[in-house]
This record gives sequence, C-alpha cells and structure tokens, in this order.
Amino acid sequence: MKKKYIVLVLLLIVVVCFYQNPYAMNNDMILARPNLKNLLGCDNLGRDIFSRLVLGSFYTLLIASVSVALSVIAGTMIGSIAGYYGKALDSIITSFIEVIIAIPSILIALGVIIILKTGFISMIVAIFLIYLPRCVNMVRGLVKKERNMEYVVAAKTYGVSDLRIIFYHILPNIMKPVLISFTTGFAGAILTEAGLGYLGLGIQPPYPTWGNILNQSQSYFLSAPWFTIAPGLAIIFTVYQMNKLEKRGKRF
Amino acid sequence: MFYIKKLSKMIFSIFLIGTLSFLLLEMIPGDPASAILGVDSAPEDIELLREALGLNKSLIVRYLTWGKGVLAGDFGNSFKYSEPVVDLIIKRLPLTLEIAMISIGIVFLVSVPLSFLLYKIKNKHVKKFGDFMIGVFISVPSFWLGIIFMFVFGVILRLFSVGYNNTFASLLLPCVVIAIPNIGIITSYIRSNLEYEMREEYIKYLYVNGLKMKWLNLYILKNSILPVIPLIGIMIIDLITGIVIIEQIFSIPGIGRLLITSVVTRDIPLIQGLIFYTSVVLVLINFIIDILYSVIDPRIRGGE
Repeated sequence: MKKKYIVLVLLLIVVVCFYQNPYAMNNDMILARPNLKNLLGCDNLGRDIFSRLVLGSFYTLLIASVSVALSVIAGTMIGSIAGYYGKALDSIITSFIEVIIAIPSILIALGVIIILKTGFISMIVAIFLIYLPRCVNMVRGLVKKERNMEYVVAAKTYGVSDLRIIFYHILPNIMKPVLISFTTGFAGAILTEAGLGYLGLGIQPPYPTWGNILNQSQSYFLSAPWFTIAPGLAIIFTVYQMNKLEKRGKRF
Repeated sequence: MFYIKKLSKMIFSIFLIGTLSFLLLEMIPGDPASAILGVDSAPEDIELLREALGLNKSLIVRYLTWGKGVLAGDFGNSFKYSEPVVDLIIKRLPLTLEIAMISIGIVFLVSVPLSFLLYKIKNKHVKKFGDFMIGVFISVPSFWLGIIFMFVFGVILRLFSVGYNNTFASLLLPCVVIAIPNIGIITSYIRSNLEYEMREEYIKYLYVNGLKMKWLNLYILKNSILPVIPLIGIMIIDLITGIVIIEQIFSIPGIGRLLITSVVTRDIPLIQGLIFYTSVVLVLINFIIDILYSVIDPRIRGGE
C-alpha cells in the first residue's frame, strides 16, 4: 500500500513540475530561495531548479537505460556464444574482456569523448563500453554452467541447431540473473553519467541532466546550498532503489 | 604453471592496452592534426604537426615506431606543456597512488569493525538503520559528497584546509570521501561472508568442542576477510574513477587533473600516455595482488 502512495506522489510531482518551464530564464529570480512557486528555488540563470531536476531525470534515466540495455543485449549475445562454444573462441574473447575490465571506467569514457566529442551519443557509447565486458563475463559464466545440463545434451541429440539451443533453450533459463545485472548496470550508469556531467564532459547545457546541474551548482554552494543538495539526493534515491531492487531480485 | 599463466596474461594486457591507446589517435574522425589545432588554423601549422606526428607514413610504420617509443618509455611531448609526457606523468603518479592507498586503508579500518559490529548487533531497529546507511553509502556519488564536505568542513566549520597544500592532513578529507562508497560495498560483502562462514561445519565442530566465543569470532572474521583481498584489485580500478573527479574538486595536482586538462585541451599524446600508464600500473597492482593471494590461499593455484 505504501509503495502505491509513493508512486502517486512522484507522478503528482511530475505533473506539478511542468507548471514551470525548465528553460525559461528570469533575471529577478537568480538564486532565489525555495518558495511556493519554485519548490527548490532558482539557479544562477533564474531557471526553476525543480522542473530542471525532473527534466534532468528524464535525460539521465534515458541515457542510462538505453546504454545499459544495449550492453546487456550485446553482452548476452557475445557471452552466450563464447560460453557455448568454449575453447579457442572463448579464450580469445575472455582475454580481451579481462583487459578491458582492468581499464578504469573513466579512462574508457574519456577516450570515447575524445573520439566522438561530448553529447548524447558519446555518453551512450561510453556507458555501453563500460558495461559490455562485465555483462559478457557474467553471461559467459552462466552459459558455461548450463551447457552441460541434461536438457542441452538432449536437445543436441535431437539435432537442434546451436543457435536455437542458445537462444530458445539456454537463454530463458539465465534470463533472471541477466535482468538483475541490468539493474546493477543501471545504478552504475547513473553514477557514471553524473560524474562525467559534473566534469563538464557529459551532455552539454541547455539540456539538463543530474550531472551537469551539479556542475553548474558547485560555485553557488554557500549562497544556494539547495541547488547542489537536490540533484545529489535525486541520484542517491534512484541508485539506492535500484540496488534494493537488485537485492530483492537475488533473493528469489 | 600458475605464475607463467598470470605473467603471460599480464604481458598480453599491456600489449593490448598499448594498441588501444595508439588506435585512439587513429579513430579521431578526420585529420588528427586539424582536429588537434582546430579547423581555422593555418595549413602550414597543420602540415608541420602532421610531420611531427608522422601522419604522412602508413599505419603499420607509425604503430611500430610508436611501439618502439613506448618500450623505451617515450610518448613524445605534450602539446600543452611541451614537456615529455613521461616526466609529466611520473611527477604526478605518486600522489594519486598515495591517495588510493590511504583510501584503501580507510576502507579496511572502517569496514572490518563495522561489518563485525553489524553482524553482532541483535537489535532489529539498529540493524535496519545500519543496512539503510550501508545502502546510502553505496549509492552516494563521491564527488557530490566531496562538494558538500568541502564546504561544510572546510569553508563553514574550518576544520580542514580547502585544497591541497602538500600536507597529509589536506589529503585526509578527499580520501575519506573517496573511501565512503567502497566502505559500503566492502562492509556488506564482509557481512554476508560472516553470515555464510558462521554456518560452516568447522565452526559448528569447534563450538561443540567448547571453544570460547572469542576465538570462534576470530576464526570467522579471518576467513571472511580473506576473500576480500582479490577484491582490492577491482576496488583500485573503481577508485581511480572517483579519484579523477575528487582531484578536480579539491584541486590536488595528481593524475586526475592532468587527465581532465588533457581531454579539455585535446592533448592527444598526453591522453595516450595517461591511459597507457594508468592502466599498466593497475595491471601490475592486480598482478601483485593475484600472486599475494595465491601465496596466502594456495587453493586457487590448483585450477580454474
């Protein structure tokens, strides 16, 4: 019951926020305190922070979900092929994956940003490349375990093709951990986006994301602390709920 | 055999990282020289830079000369600082590694007692609160915490100096900030280990034999902390991401600041060098940790 109310309140918030235009600047309202009209005050250009935060959550969550979904899909394909066939193909793929995992995610992201310039696509590609190896690694392990199960052997004796075995027989059995890993990646992707946005290397203004709102806000902490605190709390809340979801998924 | 396998893996990693960082220059769309200098620069300048980068030769020749340079520890000169890249990196790497080491120290000093405490406490409400706090620790973006801590402790309360001034005390606050998300992760990991170890047969046996609770706890704790050692390697890799951003906030002149300036100014040789060196240092650290762990726990040497 309690959960339903929370969702309702969140929906109400989304409706209320579009009462204000997130892009409209107002010179009289620069760094205004929170009031009834602007629930979280205004930023350094006189824009309503609350509506920007909600719009920012749309962009942040869009980037995180698209990139992580792509990496889960690609990772599942590569991982299941590596795990199923094994031998030389497997060892080639795993050795590449191991190396990429050993590179800090920020270096991968910055490399992508150098090549593609800052923007939506570079963000999505960067997060995709960060989570792809982890996903491949996990799926590979799962498929390797399934490969010697009896149902796979039975399917093989009936002459079912390898691809059909992988995608029709094995995949449904490993779907749950793969979906759980989606939530893990999602939480990480939000933090990565926020970090890059904070460094000014993420999505560029005027599009608000949680990361670049933090980037704009840091010089005004003393005069407008709510400007910095609000996006941080939004990040913590989302990532916390994602981690909780992951924990609950693991229990089943 | 185990060591040879690990060593060959390490050499392959270094080779692959080198190739990737070389390819970075190749993958910049269009002409790298004009991309570096900007579109509206003079054609003569672009031609000079092309010459300097060796862009008028074929890919393989460039790769071989570049590889030779890397083996000799030469990455060319940085565009912005016009200094050898290697000197720039070596000057700043120790500070970043120091931050990483202090942070890991803090993580262990806090998370081992904390996890044991959470495991021992039977009060339901306290336990729930502890779980909640750990969840928040894992979820908090360290740089946001960095901004808040810097203003609250540095500017308002004046307990710490804002920014880096060559003293250990000024490094403490950034290290705590970097450590906090990892404290959450490691604490929850050790605690689930503790709960698992508690149900093991040998503990039951020792308990039935009348061993004192104090010693039992010690055994459980030791066996739950051991699996954390290989995690340190992964933790350092994750720490680097935090350190890069935190160095920016606290203006610590380490690898992170160099990296961000090099990306903003599109200083390609410096970026290549940074990516290569940082990754290689991490690969080496991971290699050492693997070896150490195999010495401590010989079971993993046996096979996959």
